Amino acid sequence: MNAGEFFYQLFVSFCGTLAFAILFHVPPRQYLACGLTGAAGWVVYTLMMQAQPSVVVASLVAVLPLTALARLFSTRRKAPITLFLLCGIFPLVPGAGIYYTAYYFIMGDAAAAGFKGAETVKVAGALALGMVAVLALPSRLFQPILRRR
Amino acid sequence: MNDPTQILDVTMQAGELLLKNGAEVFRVQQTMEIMARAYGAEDYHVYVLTNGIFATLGTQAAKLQNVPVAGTHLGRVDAVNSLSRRIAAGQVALKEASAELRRIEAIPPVRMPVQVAACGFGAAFFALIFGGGWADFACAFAAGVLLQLFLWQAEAHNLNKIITRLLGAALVTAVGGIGVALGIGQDLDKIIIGSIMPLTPGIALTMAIRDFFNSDYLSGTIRLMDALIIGLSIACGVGAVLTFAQYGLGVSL
Repeated sequence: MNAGEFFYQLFVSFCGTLAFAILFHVPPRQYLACGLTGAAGWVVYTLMMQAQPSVVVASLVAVLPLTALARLFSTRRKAPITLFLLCGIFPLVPGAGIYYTAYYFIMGDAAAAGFKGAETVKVAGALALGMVAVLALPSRLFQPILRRR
Repeated sequence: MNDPTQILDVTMQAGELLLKNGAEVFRVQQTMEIMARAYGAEDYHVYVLTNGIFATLGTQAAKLQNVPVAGTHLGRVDAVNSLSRRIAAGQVALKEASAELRRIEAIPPVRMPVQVAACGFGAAFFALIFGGGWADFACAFAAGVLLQLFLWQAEAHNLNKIITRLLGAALVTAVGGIGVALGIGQDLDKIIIGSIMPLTPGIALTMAIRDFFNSDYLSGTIRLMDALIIGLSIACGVGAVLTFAQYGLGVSL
């Protein structure tokens, strides 16, 4: 991925996340942090997809820095982590996967529906697993980073 | 000593606000317990589901609240969170807390024109994220704007949630299809997945599995079923329009 493409991905995912932060009625002072969380996750995801094209692995790897960033923002900005997590994860959640699964299902393409369905569940599982793992880390791991800034 | 019924009322009020506006089940439970303890309640028990809260205080008071799955308003979640911090620090009297919660409940949603623009840009940028071009950006923007206007009307008329999603998905598909037929849009698939993003239950599905990992199996199941039904209704909406275009109008999109 060249620099131009990198910044393009960063830009579109930041704007996309920001739009949904507004739709979720996030307080305006947190817009920037929400957008950054979403962009960070998405950029890691696209980089991973180039190195190892598996949506499940890429989702799992991308959600780790995303959740860590959400935790940092939550502590530093004294806001519930839900704000940053729910908005930031939006580009990664398999919304399109659910739609494709259901679409193939009602169109009678059982094989495609099964394939998409399995992938969708695996992606959601990977995201949830990564999230739970990072949230389980002791908060003192985040202290040095917080103090330095 | 605070009145038990009043403690129960205030904690329930806070829990309902949190749950209704998109907070996670275990966080709602945690916040209610912290508040009750701060007001000196002993033997306080609360059980939270995705769509309901049960709480008891000793043997004197019990309360049950039905909380239908509704929209997300993270501004209110944020406000309740900071209030609960202040309560835990002993800075807010019980009476004040109740008034404060009513004030939080009245925090208005984002103004309608802003919501319409946000929905348009959200749909448009997601069309780009999924690999669409700037032509698809324009079509998805139009679809997103119309979708939010439709959702607003549907809510005003109390339209059934499933029907709302189905018609919303049909609407954006029709708009995208017209855009492509007129030669404005390039890739209908990208336009559709971009502009149905505001409707898709991706977060619900992910949070359902997270509930499972937290051993909240019942809450997870409720969310999972919600995600499945919504996914199906969106697909029906899109499928109906595409099938009609193909067999009714003879255009293959």
